[in-house]
Amino acid sequence: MQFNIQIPCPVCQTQIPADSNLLLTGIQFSCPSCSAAIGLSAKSAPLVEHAINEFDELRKEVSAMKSATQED
Amino acid sequence: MADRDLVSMAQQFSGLPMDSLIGAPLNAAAKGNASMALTQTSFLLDTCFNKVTASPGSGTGSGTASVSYSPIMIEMSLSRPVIVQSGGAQGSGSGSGNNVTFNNVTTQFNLPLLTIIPINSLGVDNVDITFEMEVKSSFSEDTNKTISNSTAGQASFEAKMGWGPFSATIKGSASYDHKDSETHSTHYQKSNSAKYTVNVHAGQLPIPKGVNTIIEAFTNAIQPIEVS
Repeated sequence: MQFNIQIPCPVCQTQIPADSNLLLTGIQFSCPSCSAAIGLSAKSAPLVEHAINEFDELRKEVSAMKSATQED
Repeated sequence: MADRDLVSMAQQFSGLPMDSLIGAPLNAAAKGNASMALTQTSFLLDTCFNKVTASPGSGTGSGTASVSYSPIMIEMSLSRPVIVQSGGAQGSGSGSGNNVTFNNVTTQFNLPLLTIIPINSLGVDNVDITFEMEVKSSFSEDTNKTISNSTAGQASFEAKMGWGPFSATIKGSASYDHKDSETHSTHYQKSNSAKYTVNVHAGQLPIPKGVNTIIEAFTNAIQPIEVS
């Protein structure tokens, strides 16, 4: 599994590898050090979903820019 | 003889417009990256921050409206096992009557939305410019000389003699052939070549230190909140 973000564990400050898209699906990620599990609260899910969709749009836009730069 | 001078390689390369050959693609990449950075910054400010505009004169005393950004926070849940002792006197250790159980306690904490967006994956990550120029110069001369001489001669004779009943005939022939040949060949060749190769590699830098510091500050300030 490929993780794209790291969230510091609130208990022991160890970096917990996580994936923003998987967090949206309700999956929890465990701290490799203290086994505390973090997940996204249901009430914040719409906000995160909106941000991730916006980010995907941005990524497409940047890919188009990259292609244009390479063609120059 | 023809002019045997070859072209000067140094002269050929010195006239190259290196600034535009190498600089132009690099400039295009840099401009592209700057444009992507602006788009990214705009995304971060619009999506991950709340814009707070203070009316003129309030607080700062200046006549212009000031704009500040506060991070949008999201709520995360934290689950961890907690040891719970029930029964017996507190602090009595492993005395009889103590039940030790593990309860899963769930708490909430807030996290800036910014920290769960993988923003370092955008931008031009690799630029390769390969410029190769080859100059070849050559000179070749061929000389061929052939002399051929041929002489040929032929002669014949015949004589007849007779004495009474006797007669004699003498026949003879002679020939002469002479051939003289001379070939001269000269081959002269001269060449030089030069290659000029330029490789420029520009790579993507890691996430800017400033952005990283902001994210670190946000993420280090996470405080669990006990749910009553």
